[in-house]
Order: sequence, then structure tokens, then C-alpha cells
Amino acid sequence: MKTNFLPKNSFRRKPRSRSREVLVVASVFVVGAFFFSYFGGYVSNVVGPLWHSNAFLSRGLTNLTASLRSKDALITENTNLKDQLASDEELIVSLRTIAASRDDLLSSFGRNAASGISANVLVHPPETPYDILVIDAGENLGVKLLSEVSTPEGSSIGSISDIFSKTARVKLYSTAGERTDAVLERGQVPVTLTGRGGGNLEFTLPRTIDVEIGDRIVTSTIDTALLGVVGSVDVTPTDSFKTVLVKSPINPSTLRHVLIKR
Amino acid sequence: MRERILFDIFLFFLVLYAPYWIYLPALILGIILFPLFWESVLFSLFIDYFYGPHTHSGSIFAFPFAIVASLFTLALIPIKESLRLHA
Repeated sequence: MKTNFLPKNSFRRKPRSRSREVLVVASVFVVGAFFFSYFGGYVSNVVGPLWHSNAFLSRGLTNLTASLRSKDALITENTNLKDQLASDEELIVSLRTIAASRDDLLSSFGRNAASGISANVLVHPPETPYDILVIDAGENLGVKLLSEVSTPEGSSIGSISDIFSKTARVKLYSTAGERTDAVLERGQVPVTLTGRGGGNLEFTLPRTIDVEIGDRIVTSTIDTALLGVVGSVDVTPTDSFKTVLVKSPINPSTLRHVLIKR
Repeated sequence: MRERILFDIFLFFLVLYAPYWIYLPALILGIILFPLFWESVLFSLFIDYFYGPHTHSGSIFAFPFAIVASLFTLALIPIKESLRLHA
């Protein structure tokens, strides 16, 4: 004998109460948010060594993949890098002269040349979905909230947004929605940069003000650190303003060391 | 149960080491595959706290991704039930 089992008609059943599931999820959220808000520093002490090991493993993996590349490709890359290095060394020599002049000028105003706390970058984009860095310097090294963060070469990239006991979070100026005062070097025009994410920023200017691709955007402070370089200028014939897109001087996804200014 | 614990450990290391375009889809996959995947809320809180741009002053609105993950987890429960085949 054949028996057919019809599927249950879900419309006849009373809808099941979801209160238990809502209570579970809401409780986890509230307890978790409270825990991270007040005890998040302890979590950072636990995951900090894991982030350190990630940096060690990723360098090892890079070396391993490099060893698998063909000999010809490595020779070509070596030659190109040597040429690039020679060019950069020449540029560094000329920039050192300029840096020495800047330091003398700062000293005459009673300001010391930039000194700060060196830190390694533990986590960077794309591990973080935003333009946020996690560095291995925190309260233990005297890092202060809102301290300016720059690359060792001097480009200003962001500020300290959160401090833990041994780590800190850096919010880059290119974080989406972040607004930063700056100066367009051509004409010393004050501008307000707005972060767009991915190491990109933008600002608007009246059409009459000149700006060219390659112009530098610097900080409005006395040390005039580099903030970005103009990448493109968008203007429509009917618009009285033009939108200038700025590239950050650094690539957030490859940044390994930063300097936190005291 | 064992699969869930293993997936939690796997997801924890993904959140620590992998790019966001890997661990976010993995998180969504966990919410879809496992019933009442409350661990997604904890992972989302971790992501918001360490990787988010907001300063954490005790406000729940400093955890936007955790709020979205919680709502998505709850919204998916009746959908997953209606998709099941009853014998």
C-alpha cells in the first residue's frame, strides 16, 4: 500500500513566538557591547601577540612565494629596483638639505624637529574594512589620544583614535567622512580635505583657483608635512566649483612602520 | 555542535588575519548555515571595536556592524524555517 504524506500547511499553524531568539541575540549584544566598551583593553592584550605573529608569518610567506618565482623574473625585478634605488638615493640627498633648512627654521621659532614614538603596524587595510591601523604602541609607551601619526619619512597620515595598554588605533585622514584642514601648496589656499576611503581624499575649490595634477597638499601646521598629492580635477562647465581628488602619499595596505609625534 | 565550534575558531582566525572581503562573507555564511548564530554578534562587536572608525564611549551606536549583524541574524530565522522541507 502506498501512502502519500502531504507537506504541512504552514499557514494553518500558529506562528511560533520569536521572543526567545530575540532575547538571546539582544542579551549577547548588550553584554558584549558592555564588555568591549569597558574591558576591551584586556582583549587587546590577548590578540596583540596574535597580530605580531601575523606580521612574522606574512613576511615568511612573502619570502616563500618570492623563492617560487622564475629566475628571469627575479633578475628583471632586481635590475629595475636597483635603478629605482639609485634615483631615490639622489633625491634623498637633495631632500636632506631641505630638511636641514626646515629644522633650522623650526629651531629659530623655538620648535624642535619632529621626534616621536616609533611603532610597528599590526593590522592595516584590507584586514580592516575602514582606513584604520592598529599599532603596537599604547599607554605603555606614552601614546596620547589625538596625537599626530606620520610615516618615518615625514608624511602625515592620521591621528590616534583609541589607546589600549599595549596597542593603539590610528584613524587615517583618508577614512571615509573624516575632515582635515590642509593647505594647497600652490597659492597657499586653505582647504578642507574629506576622506573617501582607500587612501583617497577630496576637496572642492572655486573654479577660478588654479590647481594642477601633482600639486602637493600639506598640513596647516608649521612643519608643513605632506598630506597628499592631487590626482585628478573634476569640473563641469556649469559648475562654479571643481572637485579635486587627492591621493595619499602612502599605501595603507603596505604600511609597516609609523611615527607618533609627541 | 562540533562543526559549529570548529567554524567559530576558523572564523576567529579569519577575523584576525584575513581581509574583510573574506571574513565578512564567512560571517554571513555562518549566520545562514547555523541556527541562531549568536557568535556573529560577538565577532561583529570585535570587528567594530578594533577595526571600526568610531570612538567607543559606551554608546551602542559605536557598534553599527554588530547592530546590523544582530538584525540580520533575527531576520533570517523565519526565512530559514520557511525554506525547510517538511516530510
